[in-house]
Amino acid sequence: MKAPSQEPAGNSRTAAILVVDDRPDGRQAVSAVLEALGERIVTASSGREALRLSLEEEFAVVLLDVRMPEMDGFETAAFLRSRPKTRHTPIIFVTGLDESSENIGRCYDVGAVDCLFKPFLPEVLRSKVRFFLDLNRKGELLAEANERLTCEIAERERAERERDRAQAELLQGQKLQATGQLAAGIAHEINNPTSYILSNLSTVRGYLLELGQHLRAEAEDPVPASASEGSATATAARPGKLARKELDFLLQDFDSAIADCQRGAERIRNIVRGLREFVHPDEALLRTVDIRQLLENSVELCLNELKYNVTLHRDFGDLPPVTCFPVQIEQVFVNLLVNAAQALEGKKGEIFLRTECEADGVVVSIHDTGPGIPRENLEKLFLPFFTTKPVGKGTGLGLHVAYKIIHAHGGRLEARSEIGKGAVFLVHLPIQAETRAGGGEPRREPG
Amino acid sequence: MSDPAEFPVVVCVDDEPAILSSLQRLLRKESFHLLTTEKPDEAITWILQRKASLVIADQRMPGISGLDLLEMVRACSPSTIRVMLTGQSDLTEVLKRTRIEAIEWMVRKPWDGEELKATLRGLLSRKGRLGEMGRTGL
Repeated sequence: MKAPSQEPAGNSRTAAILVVDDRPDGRQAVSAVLEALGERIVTASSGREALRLSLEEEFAVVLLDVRMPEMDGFETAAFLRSRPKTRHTPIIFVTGLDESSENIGRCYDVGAVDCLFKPFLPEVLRSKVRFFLDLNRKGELLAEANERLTCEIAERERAERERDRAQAELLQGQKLQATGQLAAGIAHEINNPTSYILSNLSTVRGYLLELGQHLRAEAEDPVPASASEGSATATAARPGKLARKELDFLLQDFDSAIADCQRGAERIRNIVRGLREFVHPDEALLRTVDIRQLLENSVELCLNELKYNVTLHRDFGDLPPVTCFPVQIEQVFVNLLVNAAQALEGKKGEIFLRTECEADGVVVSIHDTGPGIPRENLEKLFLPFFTTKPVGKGTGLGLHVAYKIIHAHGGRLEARSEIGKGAVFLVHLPIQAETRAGGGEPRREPG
Repeated sequence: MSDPAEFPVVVCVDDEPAILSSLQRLLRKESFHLLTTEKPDEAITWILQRKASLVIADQRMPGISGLDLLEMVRACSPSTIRVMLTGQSDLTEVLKRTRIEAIEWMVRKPWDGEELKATLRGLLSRKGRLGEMGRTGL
């Protein structure tokens, strides 16, 4: 394929004809006949000159005399054929040789497309040359079209690569930016429980000290504490012994402090678990399980989020055993349950859990009675780092992780919602999970 | 100041109830009344009504940042000592802001109990002294 830039502009429009004859009158006669075609005519007086000229430019057609000194027409034709550049240039012999079958045979043998025997009719020469000029022009048009097409394809491929690269960079950039926000959010999420866990632990050590002193004092002097209540002197007389009210407070508050610590530690554990799932989404074992049991386990895991304001309803249809990565599926259910609970925004509400069979698998639906999800958010729901929760309250990864897990199982995760009618998340799982790792990236319109 | 009726009032605001109860526990025996709330507007009300000597605000709260809240306290109750409670990750963001004068003291999460107690005692006694000298505002 020749590049169009190597060809002087407009050259392809006026094809050049090369006339080769050692005798000037022969060249003139042929040139005169072909002038009417309106094409550029180049003449050469020897085979050698013809070869030199054919190196400099491409000819649409070459008219070759046979009998020439040094290098005759047959030799010249053979040379032209042997060079890649002129291999396909049409050669017409114009010769004074006898029109014998031997001579005709030789002409075609060395690669001529035609031969004319002198004397020839000018119209015949003209029409033969015109035919090859047309052929040449068509060939050039085809080559041009081909060239354009190749360029277009290359351009399109380049644009596509460019677009892919830009998208990848954008996504990477967004991920990096989001990772920064995420890190700050997670640091805060972990720092807060750590703060009160540490503070409470040091406080309850103080409580333990006071309670220990009280117990020892009580063992030495078993008079009920209430008897000394209200009497500063009496309390002072028995150091370490606590008034009834103080004792009740300490015992009560000891319990609440420890309970707070426990909830805080659970929160940290859940954050870390969520992160681990995000980093290693395929870390688990393939097992055949009852999906309803997984759902119950998940409810158990997020009981803390559910117990205050949520009424749970279960409508579990019979399900066949499902082969899946149970830890991952549990994670999906936990994420969806926590989301559903948070959708209720601390108000009293209901969550409906439903399991059903479908043609090639099972469906689990989790339906909350929250305010619903606006259409514009519904589309972005499964994108990483998308969250409507206040900074530090959500990582924007829960639904993304859920989407990736379900997708990797060969299933589908769907969200449906109308404002004021709550939201339904549908988990479709095949009976036998696909075992491919990774899973697909969610697009704007999942499903 | 051994009479509880004369104890200064300290208001603490944080959106995390467990943080508030842990502080309540920690500071139970201190010589001030500690009022805790998750609601920033309630904190402002208390500061004004109870003429709070000191306010502790968390930086990260939904709706309003601790810095904005302390800025408001500075405007409506300049004599109240403003303490910011913040995690390490928010510190740089806070320090970037030019209105840093809204904060008089910074307490990092997680805090050290004894250190926090000593800090609050120190700040409250400084306030007492400044009060006697006639506080000219910071």
